[in-house]
Amino acid sequence: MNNTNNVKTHRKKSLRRMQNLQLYSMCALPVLLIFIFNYIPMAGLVLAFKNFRYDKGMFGSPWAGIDNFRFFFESDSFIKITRNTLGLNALFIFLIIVCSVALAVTLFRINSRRATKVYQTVLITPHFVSWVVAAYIVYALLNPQYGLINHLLVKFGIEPIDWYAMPKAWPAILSIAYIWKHIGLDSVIYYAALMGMDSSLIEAASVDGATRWQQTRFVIIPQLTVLIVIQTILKIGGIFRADFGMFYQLTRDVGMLYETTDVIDTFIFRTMRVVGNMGMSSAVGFLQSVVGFVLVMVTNYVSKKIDEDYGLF
Amino acid sequence: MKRVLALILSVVMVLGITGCGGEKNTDSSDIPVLKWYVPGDNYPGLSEVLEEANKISVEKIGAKVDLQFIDTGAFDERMRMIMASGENYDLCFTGYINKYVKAARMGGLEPLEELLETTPALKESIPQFFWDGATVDGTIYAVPNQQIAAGYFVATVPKRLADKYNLDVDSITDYPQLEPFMAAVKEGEPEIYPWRNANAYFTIGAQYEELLAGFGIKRGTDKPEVVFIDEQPEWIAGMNLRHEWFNKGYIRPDVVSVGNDTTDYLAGKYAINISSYKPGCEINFENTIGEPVVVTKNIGKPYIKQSNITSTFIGISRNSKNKEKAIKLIELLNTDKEYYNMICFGLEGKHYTKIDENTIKFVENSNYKPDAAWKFGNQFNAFVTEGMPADVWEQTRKLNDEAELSPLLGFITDTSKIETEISQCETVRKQYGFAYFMGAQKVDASYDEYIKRMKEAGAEKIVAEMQRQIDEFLAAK
Amino acid sequence: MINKQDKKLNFLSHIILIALSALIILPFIILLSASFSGEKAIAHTGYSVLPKAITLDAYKYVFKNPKTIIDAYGVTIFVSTVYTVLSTFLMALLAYPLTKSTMKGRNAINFYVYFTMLFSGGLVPSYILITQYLHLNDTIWVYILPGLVSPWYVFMMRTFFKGIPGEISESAYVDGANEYIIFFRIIIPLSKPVIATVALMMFLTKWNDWMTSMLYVNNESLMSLQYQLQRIMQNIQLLQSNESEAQNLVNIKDIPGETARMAMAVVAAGPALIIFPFFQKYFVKGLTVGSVKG
Repeated sequence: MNNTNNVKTHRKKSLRRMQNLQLYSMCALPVLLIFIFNYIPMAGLVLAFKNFRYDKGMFGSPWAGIDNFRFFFESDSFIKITRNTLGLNALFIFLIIVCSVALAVTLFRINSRRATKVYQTVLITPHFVSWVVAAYIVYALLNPQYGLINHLLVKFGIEPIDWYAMPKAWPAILSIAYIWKHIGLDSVIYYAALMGMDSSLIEAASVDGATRWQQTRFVIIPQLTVLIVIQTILKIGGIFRADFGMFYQLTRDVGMLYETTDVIDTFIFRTMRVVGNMGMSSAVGFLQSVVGFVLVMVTNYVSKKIDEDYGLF
Repeated sequence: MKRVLALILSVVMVLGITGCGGEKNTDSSDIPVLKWYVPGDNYPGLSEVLEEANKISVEKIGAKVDLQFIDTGAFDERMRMIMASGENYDLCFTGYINKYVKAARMGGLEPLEELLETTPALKESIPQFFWDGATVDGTIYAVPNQQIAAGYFVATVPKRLADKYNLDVDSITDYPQLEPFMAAVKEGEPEIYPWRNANAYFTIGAQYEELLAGFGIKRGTDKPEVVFIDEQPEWIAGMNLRHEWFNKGYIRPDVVSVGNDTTDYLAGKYAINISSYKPGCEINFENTIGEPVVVTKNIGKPYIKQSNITSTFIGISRNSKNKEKAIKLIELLNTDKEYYNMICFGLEGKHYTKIDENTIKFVENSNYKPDAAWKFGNQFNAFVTEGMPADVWEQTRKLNDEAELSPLLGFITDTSKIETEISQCETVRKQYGFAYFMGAQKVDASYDEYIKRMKEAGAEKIVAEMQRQIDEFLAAK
Repeated sequence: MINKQDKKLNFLSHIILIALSALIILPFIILLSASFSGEKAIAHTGYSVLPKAITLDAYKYVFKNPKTIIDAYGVTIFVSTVYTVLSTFLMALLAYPLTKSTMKGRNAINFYVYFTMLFSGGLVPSYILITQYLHLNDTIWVYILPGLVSPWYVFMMRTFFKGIPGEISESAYVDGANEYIIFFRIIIPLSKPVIATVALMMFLTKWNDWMTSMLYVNNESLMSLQYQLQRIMQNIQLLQSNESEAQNLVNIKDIPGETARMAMAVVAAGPALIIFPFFQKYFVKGLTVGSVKG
C-alpha cells in the first residue's frame, strides 16, 4: 500500500517535471525575443542620468546626476501638468472601461449577428483616423465662427461659444474624442471575452427566472471582472504618460487652454523645442515609467488582496 | 494548423535568404568613397549622375562620393540616430534640420579649423560674415553653403487687389500705411481677410533682433543690451495696432486658434501676407497662390543675424576615416561649378537643357531633380532655373553685402543654466501672451499682469544671464 | 423563448447602438466628404456632411505615382499578415504556461514580461542593436521581428485562457496528453474569439506603422503604406511652405493639401476595414463545458 503510494507520487512528480519542461520550452522563444528586443536596449535608461554627447556615446558621456530631471521638478508648471496628466488619464480610463463594457454587453445581448458585425465595423472606423486628421474635423465642429456646433447653438437661440478660449470645456471634449477613437476596439476585447464564456450559465439563470437586467448584472458582468481588473491595472501603468498626438493636435496647442490641457508630454515637447538635450526627454520618460510602475505595484497588490485571480503577477 | 506552420516557415526562410542579399559590396580599389547624407527624395537617376560626377572627383581630389538622400521629414530623427550610434559616414547636411548648433555642441561634427588650413581656396571663397555666423563656442564645425543671409520682412499682395484698390507698394514704408488699402479690401471683398497674421514678430523686426522667444537686443547699437521684448514700447505699439485691426475686422476673428491656415492662404483668402524677402521670391509667391504678386520692399532693412546663417551647411562626421578627403570634396563643391551643378541638376541633355550659359530648364519627367542647390554648396555658383531673374544670384549677393550685420554673429546662448526659466516663460507666453500678440486682446492693465507672470517665471533672470554671456562673448572678441 | 420584455429591450438596444454608430461615424463621413471636395471649396465653405461638388483631385494626387502606393500596400499587407500570425502564435505560446500555477517561476516570468511594458531604453539603443548588430535595416524583417511580443495582449490571452474550465483539459491529461497537445487541441480551438481579437489588434498596429520605415528603411519598395502616405503629405507641405525651389515647376495652388490628407486617411483605412469581417468570423460563442464533456 505504502509502496504503491510512493510510486504514485513519484510518477506524479516526474510527470509534473515533464509538464514543466514542456511549458518552459513553450515560452522559451517569446522570452528570448523579449530579452533581445526589450531588455538589451534598456541599457539606454542610463541616458536619463547622462549629459549625452554623440562623440562619447551612450556609456562614455559624462554623468549628469539628476540635472536632467531638474527642469521638470523646478518648473512652476509642475503641479498643473502633473494634475492634468493624472486627472485626465484617470478620467479616460474610467470612462473607456465603463463605456466599452456597456457597449460589449449590449452588442452581446442583441440577437442579430449581422447587425453586430455592422455596428462593430462602424465603431472601429475612428481607429484609423489620426489625431492630425481628427483635429481638422474637431475644428470644423468647434470653430468659433463657422463651427457646426455653434451653428446649431445659434439656431436654438443660444449664444455661440468660443470653445478654444474655454479651458473648462476641454476635459469633456477630450474625453469624448478619446472614447470616440477607442471605444470600438476596446469593446471588441470584452465582446470576445463574452463570446468565450460558458453560455449555459445564462441559460441556467434564465430558466431560474432571472430578468434580463439580473442576468446581465449577476451572470455576465462577473464573467468580465477579471478582465476588467487586469485591463485597469495595465492602463494604470500608462497613467503618467499622455497621448501627445491627441493633446497637441486637438487643442491646436492654443495657450489659453493650457490650464486644463497642458500635460507632461506637451510640456516636454515645448521645452525640447527651445532648450533641451536627449537626456532631458529620457529623464522624464524614465520618471513616467517609475510612476506607472509604482502605481501598478500598488494596485496589483491591492487587487490581489481582494482575490488572488485579480493579480497581474 | 500544421500546414499553416509549414507555410510560415517556408515564407520565413525565403525572406531570410533575400534579406541577407542586401549588403553592399565594397569597392576593392584604393579610392576612398565618401558617404554623404542629404535630406531629400531619392531619385532613380542618382547612380548615373554619381558615376559621371565621380569621374571628376576622382581626377580632382582622388575620392568618390556615395550621396544618399534621406526623406526630409525623417532627416532630423535619422541623423540623430546615425550620430548617436556612431555610424561610420563622412559628410552630412546640417542647418535648419539636423540642427547645426545642436549637432556641433553635442559632438556630432568634426571641428574644422585645422582641416580648413589645407583648403585655402574654400576658405577664401566664403565671406567672413558667413564664417563668423558658422562659429559655435569659438569653433567652426561645418562649412556654410552660401545663399541668402540677409533677412527682412515684406508684405506681399496679389497684384490684382493692389491694382483694384490703388496700392502703390513702393510708397509703403511702414505697416500703418497699409490701412487705407485694408479698409478698401474689407469694404469691397467680403470674402477676403485683409491681413494674415502669420508672425507677430515682424512689426519690430526692424528695431530688434530676437535671440529667444521674447528676448533680444536692440538693433544698431555697438554695445548690445538684452531686453525683454514683450515690454518694449515698439512691441506694445505693434500689438495696439493689430488690436485696432482686429476690431475693424481686418484680422480673422479666430486668429488665436486657427493655427495652420495654409489652405486659406492658397485659396486666396488673404490680401496681405507677411513673409521674408529674397530676390526672385515674387515668382515663388506667384506660383504658390497662382497669380502675380507685388511686394513692399521698402518696409524694414536687411539684416544678417546668426540664425539666418546657421540654416545650410555641410559638416564632416567625427567618425569619418577620410576627413582630409571630405574637406576637399566640400572645397570642390564650393569652387568647381561643373561638379557642383552636376550634383545639383544632373546631366545636361538627360536631366536638364540649357537655355543660355547660366539658365537651365528641366527635362520633363526627369529622374534626377533634387532642385535645391543650397543643399550642396555655394548657391551662387548654381545655374539659374527658368523663370527666375538671370541675375538672381548677383542680386542676392548684393543684398547680403549691403545688409547690416548683427554684432552677435558667432554668439549662441548657452541655455543650460536657465533651462527652467526658459521653459516656464515659453509656457506663460503661449498661455497668457499669445492672444495679445495676435491682436485678439486689448493691451490694458491685464497685460501688466502678464508681464508680472513672465517676471515670476524668470524673465529677468534670463535677461541677466544672456547679458552676462554676451558681455563675455564681446570681451573675447 | 423570447418574451415581450426581451423584445422591447432588444429594440431599445438597437436604437441606442444606431444612435451611437451614427455619432461615431459622423466625423468619418465629414472626412470622406472632404476627401471628395475641392481644396478651394473647403477653404470657402468649410467642411460638410455631403460634398458640394465631387472631385477626385485629392485621390488623383495621392495616386500620382500608383506604383509606390501599390508597392506600399503590398509591403503593408504582407508584413501585417506575417507579423499577425507570428506574434499571435508566439504570444499564445507564452500566455498559456503563465496560466499554470504549477509552473515554477511563473510569477517571475509574468513580471519579466510586464516590466517591458513600462520601461524602455528609447530609440538610440534599439537603433544601434537593429542596424549594427542584427543588420535588420532595409530588410522586411525589421517590421516583423522587433515587437513580436506585446505584454498587453499576452496578459489578455492569459486572462482568457485562465477562464477555460480546468475540467476540460483534466480528462485529456488522464488520457496521457502532453502540454503541447492540450495547447493545440484544446486551448487554441476554445479560444478563437480572443485569438481573433489579439490578431486583429496586432494587424491594426502593424497596419498603422510608419516609424519603422522612417527609421530603418531606405529602399523605396520596402516602405510601408502609412509612411508613403506621410511622405506625400510632407512633400505637399514642403511645396506649400515656399522653401522649395521646385516651386517654379508646378502649380502649387492646384495641389490639394487638407483634402489630400483626408483622402489619405480613407486610402489607409479602407482595406483594413474590409478585412475586419474576416476576424469577426471567429467571434463565435465558445464551447460550453457541458458540450465538450458530452
